Amino acid sequence: MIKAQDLRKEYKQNKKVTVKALDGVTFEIPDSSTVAIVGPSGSGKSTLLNILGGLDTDYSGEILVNGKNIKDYNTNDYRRKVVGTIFQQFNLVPSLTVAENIMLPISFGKQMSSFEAENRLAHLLDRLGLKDRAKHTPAELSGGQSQRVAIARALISKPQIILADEPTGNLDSKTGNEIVELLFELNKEEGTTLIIVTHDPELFKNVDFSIHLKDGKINN
Amino acid sequence: MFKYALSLVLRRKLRTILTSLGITIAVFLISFIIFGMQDLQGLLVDQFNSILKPNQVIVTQGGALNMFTGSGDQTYDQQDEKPVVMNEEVLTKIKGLDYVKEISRMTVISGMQMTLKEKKVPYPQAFMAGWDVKSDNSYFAEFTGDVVDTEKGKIWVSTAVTKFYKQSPEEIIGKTIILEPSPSSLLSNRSKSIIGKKFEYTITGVFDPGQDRNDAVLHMDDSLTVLSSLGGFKNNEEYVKEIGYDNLYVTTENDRVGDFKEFVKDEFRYETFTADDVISILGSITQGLTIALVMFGLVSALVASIGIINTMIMSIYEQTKEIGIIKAIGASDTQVLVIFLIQSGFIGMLGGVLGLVTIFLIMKGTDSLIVEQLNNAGFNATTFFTFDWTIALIITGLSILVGIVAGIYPAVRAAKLDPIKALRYE
Repeated sequence: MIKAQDLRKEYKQNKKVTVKALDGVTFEIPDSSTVAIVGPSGSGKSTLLNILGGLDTDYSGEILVNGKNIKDYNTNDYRRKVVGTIFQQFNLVPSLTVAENIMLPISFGKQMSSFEAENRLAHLLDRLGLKDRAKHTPAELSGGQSQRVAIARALISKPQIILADEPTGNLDSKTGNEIVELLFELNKEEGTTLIIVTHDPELFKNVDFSIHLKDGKINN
Repeated sequence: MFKYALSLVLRRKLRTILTSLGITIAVFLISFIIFGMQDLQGLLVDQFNSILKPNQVIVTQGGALNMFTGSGDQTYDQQDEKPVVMNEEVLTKIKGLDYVKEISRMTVISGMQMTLKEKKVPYPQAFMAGWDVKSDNSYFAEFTGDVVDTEKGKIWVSTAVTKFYKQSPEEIIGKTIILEPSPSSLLSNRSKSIIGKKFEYTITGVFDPGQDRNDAVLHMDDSLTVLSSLGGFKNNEEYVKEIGYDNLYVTTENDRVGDFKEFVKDEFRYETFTADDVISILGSITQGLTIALVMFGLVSALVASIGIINTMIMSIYEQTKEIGIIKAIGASDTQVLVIFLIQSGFIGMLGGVLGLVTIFLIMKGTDSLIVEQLNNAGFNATTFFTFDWTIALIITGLSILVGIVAGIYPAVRAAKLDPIKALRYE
């Protein structure tokens, strides 16, 4: 269960103008559900995602994951073990191979034994159809393949929550749909909570529920 | 993580190599000193020790050796106190010291030329010595002939003379040398008493003076005869009494060299010259060179560090987004710091290894040439460079350290990047 309670964040655009990025956002997300965060640009989607991803800690209100305030987690451990992030632009490390990219979160924190990690890697490569691409570099991959590598990287540490920031934004619609299907399948298989920021109507049709943001407020 | 850091620094291979070249130059200069200069000093000291043993002292009554011993400017006070003439009386006093083991007298004859009797052309500007010297003296790098002491009427000539007359030492032994005042001497004023003076000697030995300039050695009595005759003295005794010997070559008991130097300085105001003096001169020369090279080395290390800082800051700009990514997937600030320090340390190591490889190849390539040159110049060298793997390892370690230290500032900057801003960076 993820509980967000009265989240508020303000930016000072300049000396006079203060922008309320989040203005009293409260919601609850049950475990293993799928959620879409939607809204026009500037509505606070990215801010909410950054807070949920543990990248932004400068806000008021609180978020409880499993009943524990995320500010009470060790920031690095939270990013490594609790959430996995998928970006619109894939954000793979160009100088590492597919397998090395997927294993990168493990190399920063020993979440599991290397035997366990290797098994997990083999499983994900197989599951995401990347088996014969393991030794390739990101430059040799198509957009869909790159995003599947990014998904595998997000899943490697068996996180509880997957945060996906416009995961289909850089893909053609056919590939985008494939990725969306894959995300939903994996959500069931892995039992993770999937939170997607999206503009894609196809995407938020299929989610368990959506959070509509406008001017930093929930507008469902 | 280590692999990831290396993949970052190897992404820009040319830039990495160019940046590391600064360290290469620094390492090259410093290892040149360590592998070459130390040996050079050792070689010079060895060479000199074979001529002058630690318990031997050259005593001179003139200031001729001042320029070697570096006793400084001449002062009015020095001029006031003339040294005592180095005559038999002085010799007796020195012999009376219980720690003096051996005394050899030396006279120097200059302004002479010598001609091999069968040839017309004279060997010009000969430097000659009268010397209580034995043919097995360590002064000689090589000696041909079987006479132990110089005999009256006999002469030893140097290999320079045999080369001049294109004769082997074996060929020249037994031939006659004519000694006469050189008409073109720069070293002495003309004197009526020297006109027409001629002396004849038979060659009995050939010596190799090594680094020294010495063309011939005469028996002490013969040299005094030449000097008193040229100078218009009644006999040898008068010459010694009035002018004295030029130098004494004194062997003392071990550890008494200092006492002896003090004695002759106080008693007779003589200058002395020992192996220690030479070693300290050589030391200060090589030390000067070493300091110069170390300075160059340090300056290039400094420049190299600035290069590394510059390169690392450049790569932070390039890798800003990537820093954001790895932070988002769980890299801690410390891990980002370490990733950047590994990169700068790698640049340092690469530079160090390149420098060592360069100097190693140069050493292998030129050692035999340098040794040949040294041996031609009269040294007795077998190797010039010695490559020490332990030192090479230490140098590599220091290069890595320089890289790491230079990388601290950029690495801290990278570690402090805000992941949200970094992720947005294009």
